[in-house]
Amino acid sequence: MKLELARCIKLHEDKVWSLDFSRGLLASGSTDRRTKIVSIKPEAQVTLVDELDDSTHSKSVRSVAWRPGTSILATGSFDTTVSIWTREETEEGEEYDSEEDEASREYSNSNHDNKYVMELLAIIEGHENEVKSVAWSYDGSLLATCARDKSVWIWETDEIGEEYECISVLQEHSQDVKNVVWHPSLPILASSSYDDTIRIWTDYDDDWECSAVLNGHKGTVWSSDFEKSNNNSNIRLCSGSDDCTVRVWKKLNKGEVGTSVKGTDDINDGNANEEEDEEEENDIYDNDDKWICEAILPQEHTRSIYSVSWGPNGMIASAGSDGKLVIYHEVEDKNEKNKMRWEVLCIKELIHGIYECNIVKWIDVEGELLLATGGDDGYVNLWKLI
Amino acid sequence: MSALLSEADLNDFISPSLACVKPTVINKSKVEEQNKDGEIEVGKEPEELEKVSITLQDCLACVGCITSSEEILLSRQSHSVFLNDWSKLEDNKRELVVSASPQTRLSLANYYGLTLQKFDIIFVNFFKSHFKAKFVVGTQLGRNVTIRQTNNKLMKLKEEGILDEKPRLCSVCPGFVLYCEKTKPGLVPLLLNVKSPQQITGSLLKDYSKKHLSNRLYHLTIMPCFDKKLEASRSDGEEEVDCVITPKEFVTMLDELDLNFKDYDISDTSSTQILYEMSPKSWDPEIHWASNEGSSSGGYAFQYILAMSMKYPETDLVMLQGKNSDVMEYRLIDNIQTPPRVIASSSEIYGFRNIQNLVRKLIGGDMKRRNVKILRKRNTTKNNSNSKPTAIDPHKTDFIEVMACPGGCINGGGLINGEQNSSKRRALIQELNEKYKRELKIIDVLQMGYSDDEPDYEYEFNAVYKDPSETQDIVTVGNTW
Amino acid sequence: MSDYLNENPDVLETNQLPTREEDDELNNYLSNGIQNKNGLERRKLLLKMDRSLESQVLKDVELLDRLLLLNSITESTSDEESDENLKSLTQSTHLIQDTIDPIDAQEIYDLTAYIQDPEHPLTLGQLSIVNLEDIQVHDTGNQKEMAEVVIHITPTITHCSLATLIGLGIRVRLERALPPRFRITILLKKGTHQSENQVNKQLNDKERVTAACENEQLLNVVSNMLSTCK
Repeated sequence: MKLELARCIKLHEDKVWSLDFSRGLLASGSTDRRTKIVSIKPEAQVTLVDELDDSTHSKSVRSVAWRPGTSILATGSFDTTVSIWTREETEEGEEYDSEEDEASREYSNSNHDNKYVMELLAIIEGHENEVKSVAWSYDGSLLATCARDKSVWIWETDEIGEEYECISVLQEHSQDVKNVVWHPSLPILASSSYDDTIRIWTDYDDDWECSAVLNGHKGTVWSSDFEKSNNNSNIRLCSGSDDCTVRVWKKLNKGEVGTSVKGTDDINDGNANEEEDEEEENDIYDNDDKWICEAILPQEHTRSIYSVSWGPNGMIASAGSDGKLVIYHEVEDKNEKNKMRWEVLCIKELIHGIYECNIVKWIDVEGELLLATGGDDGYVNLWKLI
Repeated sequence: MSALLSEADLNDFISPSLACVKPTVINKSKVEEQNKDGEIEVGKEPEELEKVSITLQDCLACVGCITSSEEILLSRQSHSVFLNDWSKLEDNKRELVVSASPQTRLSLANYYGLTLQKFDIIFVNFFKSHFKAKFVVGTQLGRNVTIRQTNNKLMKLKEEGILDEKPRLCSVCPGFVLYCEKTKPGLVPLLLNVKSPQQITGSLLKDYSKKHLSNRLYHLTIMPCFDKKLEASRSDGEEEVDCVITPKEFVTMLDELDLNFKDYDISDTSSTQILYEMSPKSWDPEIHWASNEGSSSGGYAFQYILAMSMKYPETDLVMLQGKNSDVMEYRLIDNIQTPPRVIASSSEIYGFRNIQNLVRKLIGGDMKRRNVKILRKRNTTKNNSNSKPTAIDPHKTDFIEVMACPGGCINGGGLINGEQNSSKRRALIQELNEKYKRELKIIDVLQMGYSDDEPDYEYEFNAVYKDPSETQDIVTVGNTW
Repeated sequence: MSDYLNENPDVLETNQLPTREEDDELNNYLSNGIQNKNGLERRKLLLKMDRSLESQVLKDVELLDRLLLLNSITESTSDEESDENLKSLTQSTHLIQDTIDPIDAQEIYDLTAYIQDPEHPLTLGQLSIVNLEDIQVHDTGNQKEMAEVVIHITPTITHCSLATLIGLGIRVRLERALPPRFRITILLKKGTHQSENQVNKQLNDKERVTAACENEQLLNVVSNMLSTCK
């Protein structure tokens, strides 16, 4: 299989940091302080539908996230605030004509004069400095935000998404928190940090608490993503780091704790395992979860990995500073039955030319699975796996 | 440092900044003084650097981090500092006096597996026998003053209608006070300036020694959290407290001295006698070792409502549980009038997450400046759709008892709550809260007499917060990212 | 102001800083000689021994390099006609045509050595915070390939509280001046700072740097540092 460029769109004047896709709309946030919304239709037909009021954030828009099943968008900025927008349904914007001879093409501003359909609903303040990531829980009731101030905040909101009440401030990370991500169907949050760890947070009684610390990466963990599986007894997370590795972590179920776990043998890096040995067979952690590093994926990256995405097809995509997009898939081990191992399916180099790639996301465009990437060149590229 | 005092324990509120910028700043000014002609010397490393140290006063005046760093806190106020000071007391013609807050006594009693009554006796005897203490006292006399002066000020403000605009905030939690002074200058005017029982107890003891003793006192106090060390170092509280240690440090100290706490048990003898023996004259141990109704953090919110209910006898006192266990509201309702009217209200808001909502409600940021139109439009539509009155609105009460720690002082960072696991920790808080109600003698503060010439014990708050863009110092600027 | 030079013996005068020889064209060839690993290592070693321009050693080694370069060119052209060689040759000539200006260590040095120390009226070159021999460049000159610069900086004292600021200044300077194909790594020279790992991590965190560049106050300080650059 190989990756083919399906579309490349010059959306921003500076680094594209973040992308999120929901209900046919892709939102992008950039160092140019803008947030743009494009609609993506099958055959990678792309139309710019909106550009948010760029006077709202005074610094980079670092993170964008659609509230599941709604037209509400949260954007987190280096200016310490998070803004909430809602989209009022109006007529479609003008379509991108696809007759160009080259895949890339700059569009002119005249295409979308002042057609703002996203309206500002709320501004959330609380973080002391740069907000690095925002994420909605699967049911849309909670918003998680994180910042360089080392904290993760969880906000509860109402149906219209206008009022926000802080229900938890999680301060266990010892450094800059880079990214937060929710499980696709459970109230579980993962945060990754400059302190080289990932923390898993769950709801106990009336507060959120850290239920596990995933140690193992040897550098900043930039991003993590949960497996999109309907099987809630099998919870896995992938993560990408400055140490150029992608790791897969697995939550052990009650019965598995203390028993040796297959797949860990081939991990030379013993961090995750050592800890497990120490805490074997005790119940200090009776309401804490046990996680293990299940695999370190074949190492293809030569520089920091800024983004990982676990697709609904079970494949993991990673991208970063070296400009490579790597797709991994899980296959049955040739030597051992029932044992799965991760292999590289394909690699694409220079996905944003000589620029770095900050974000990769699997997006489902009416049943067609594409990959969207955002780079320092201000482009958003769409990739097809063929 | 002992294993008991791990870094995590100190993180009871907000963790300190990565690097304290103070040492280099201090050092620099010294070095520059030495350099008269501006000539550039090379090849020399300043030797003074290690010697320049930071006082807790520096920390209080610095916007660098919210609380002080672990190292600095412990270098200025710790059991080792106490032991060192103690060894010189005799030479300095000073006498040791010890006070302990009710939460610390409960935590230690729990740790040693003793009832509170038995613990108190051993505790007093321990300081008497081992450290030759002059007095060992509880902090309730101080707390009585805090409550009384708080109520007096609030009732006056209430009459003037000032509390209807914005509530006043309790200043007994130094973690919260520091947080306001350093990061939320907008809240500082709302802080009620009545001092905490720790500081007032110190004042009362020193006043006593001035009148009755020839030697000066050295006041050691045992408190539930580390921020109390910073409180004792405030410039508006000099001489009140000499050293603050936490129960964790107390246990560590005994380990280091190789002493067994229970060896000091004298409960077979007519033991309560020692409580009298170790109290200043006119200090009744039945009072200073006691507590009062209300929360286990001091009950300030409840005591205000209680005082108001005495003023308005035909009223009902209602308690409303908030969104989570750390939010509680008290209302005094006049049911004779129709519709019933809220005469007075107060609330307890504990923990950082709840403080954040409080901050947002009391001093909204620049949200309005940025997007007036849209928000106003939204707000009106919302008011129409949502006409239900909110059941509880702790941010609009007259007075808020704010505590930085979730669970309040009974869960202070310096207490011995070895259980890291959250459900066990919560169970411990609940157990200690029950013991607080059961084992402490409860007195009625509002019925206590007091002398008319009681001075006002007041903090002088000082917003040290500076807009980061006003910072001139290059080292600070260079370290802001 | 005695607190800023201890490990480096001298403050260099501006005219003592290493510069490119007058003959730029020849020097370009010389820098292409980077592909010759041995020669480069030897040169680095000698540069460490004596980095003044008058140094006889340096002059000799440059002479040697030039000769080596000439030799290697003639060798490859006079070689037999094996397919492989032909291919590599066409590749390399193609490369030379495409190469507008491969960037070398001296260029990086020139970009950074004249940055002013945030506290003193001296440049990073004068204070030997930036040194030519601590700059590695991997660049083919091809604009469609990624290139790399690695700089090791030497703080003047091991507890220098401005190491992150100096590093930031260097990074901003290079990010502005270099073509986007460059990946820039700025590291403290091993053992020169008590918080070496912390500082290294921060200096190479893209997100932190981007945010720093949006901090007006910090940017002012950095702009002042860069105002002395040529």
